[in-house]
Amino acid sequence: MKKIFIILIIIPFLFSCSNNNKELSEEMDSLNMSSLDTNGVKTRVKLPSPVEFYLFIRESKAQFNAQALNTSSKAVNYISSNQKAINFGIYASDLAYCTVYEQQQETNDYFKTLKNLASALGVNDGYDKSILTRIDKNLNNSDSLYQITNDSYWKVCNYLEDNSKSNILGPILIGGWIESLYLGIKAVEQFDQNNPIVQRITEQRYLLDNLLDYLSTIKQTKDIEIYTSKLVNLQSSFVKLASNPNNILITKEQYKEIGQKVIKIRTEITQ
Amino acid sequence: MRWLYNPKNKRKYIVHFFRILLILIVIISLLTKKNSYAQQCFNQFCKTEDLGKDFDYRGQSTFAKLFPKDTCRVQAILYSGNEIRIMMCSDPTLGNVQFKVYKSIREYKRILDRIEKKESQEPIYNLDKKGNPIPKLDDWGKTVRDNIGEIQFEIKSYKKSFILDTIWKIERNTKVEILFDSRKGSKIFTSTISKTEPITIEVVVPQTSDLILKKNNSCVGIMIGRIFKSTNYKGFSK
Repeated sequence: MKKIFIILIIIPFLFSCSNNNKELSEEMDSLNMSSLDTNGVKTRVKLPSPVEFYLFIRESKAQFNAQALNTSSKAVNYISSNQKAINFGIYASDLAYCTVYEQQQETNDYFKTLKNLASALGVNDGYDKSILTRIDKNLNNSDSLYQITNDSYWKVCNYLEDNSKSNILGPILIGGWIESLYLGIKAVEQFDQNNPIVQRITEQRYLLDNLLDYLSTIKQTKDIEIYTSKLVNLQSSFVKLASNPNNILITKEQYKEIGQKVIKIRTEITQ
Repeated sequence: MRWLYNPKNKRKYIVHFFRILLILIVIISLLTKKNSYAQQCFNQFCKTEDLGKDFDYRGQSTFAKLFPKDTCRVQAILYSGNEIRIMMCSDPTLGNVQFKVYKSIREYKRILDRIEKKESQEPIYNLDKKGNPIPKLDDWGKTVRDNIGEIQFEIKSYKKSFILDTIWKIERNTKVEILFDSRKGSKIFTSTISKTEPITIEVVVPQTSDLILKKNNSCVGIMIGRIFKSTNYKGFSK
């Protein structure tokens, strides 16, 4: 009788699990191939990782600017899952910056912060305990730290993309991108349109386009809508560059306008 | 069934309940455990020699499970100063999967959305004898600059004014120019990027008449690799 009872309890669960699985995998198929669906062709939108941007600014001889980073102690203030996700992006970007500039202690601190945020968001791929141990072991090896942190960001983005967690990936991409642009702006001491960092900042309009394209494919939560409208506002400033005469890439006023909008968005995210 | 409801067997009931719960947790976790596409597909059908030494594929590479006749596109950005290698690796059961790389030329048009009237405060600066605004100094006598490096001036007062804020909508048209087509023989696209470009990669899985293969999806990996080489930045051109 006992056995029959156990089987009776288990059977409905088994069925419900397999049904859920089916639904989940169907949902995954459609989202995995996500969604700028033009004429039946599915499009995926990608962004270069912040590491690529930081490698460039280091190459351009910009100094490491610890004061510009979002302090890891502020992580406890981020309560909602949206705040956690978007600041996860900010911290992941800060971590990439510290790694590129070979700042071992900061790398360790930011990795720990990210591990906690990842755990709170239910994302452990890329930020598990074993990685933290690898970080500890490689604190004096900048090259390994770079590989580990690059791996982690890549793994977490893939995990979220593959598991249809666009509600987390969207804010992470926004945070990661806005922070790299912010640190890029902070790396420019004085405006000069021939400064390679200023030039790379102007090229961020392509990334912004891709980011907005990606955001348009995901579920429109209130938070996503708010950030999309802020990014569209920033895009309107980048679009002005297209009307400049051929010999002018960006004017001081245009740079200032972009800079102020980026700083405002970043401040609103991290406050 | 009586043991379930018999208060004398309460302890036994609790033990049984937790046993069942444990079994259920194990079963559920086994059923829901699955690898991600990236884990399943990453590198699976790529030849090591094709991937090339020193190329970093983390960043914009992507993976999908496609069916015969499927087409998928990937929008990516290639930064200047990088040597890049783009290739596609697919399960041989999908047949001769082809890919193309397009350069996306984006044109923007600003369209007036609305005009909003906003109150603003315009600073009135303290002026020196020549009529120029006086730079603001910090406690150490150093010129104060704002977040983006602009010199700050001493403010005497503010003047209230109204400004008309124009809100624009942006329309984007994208024209494409083909950079690479795997049907022409080569299976790997390599290039040194002198100017940052948005690109689109299109992957086309051929049709099949095989009824079993028609219903099978399999891994396709679109690998975007780079080697950072920026010591000679070529600059931006419009």
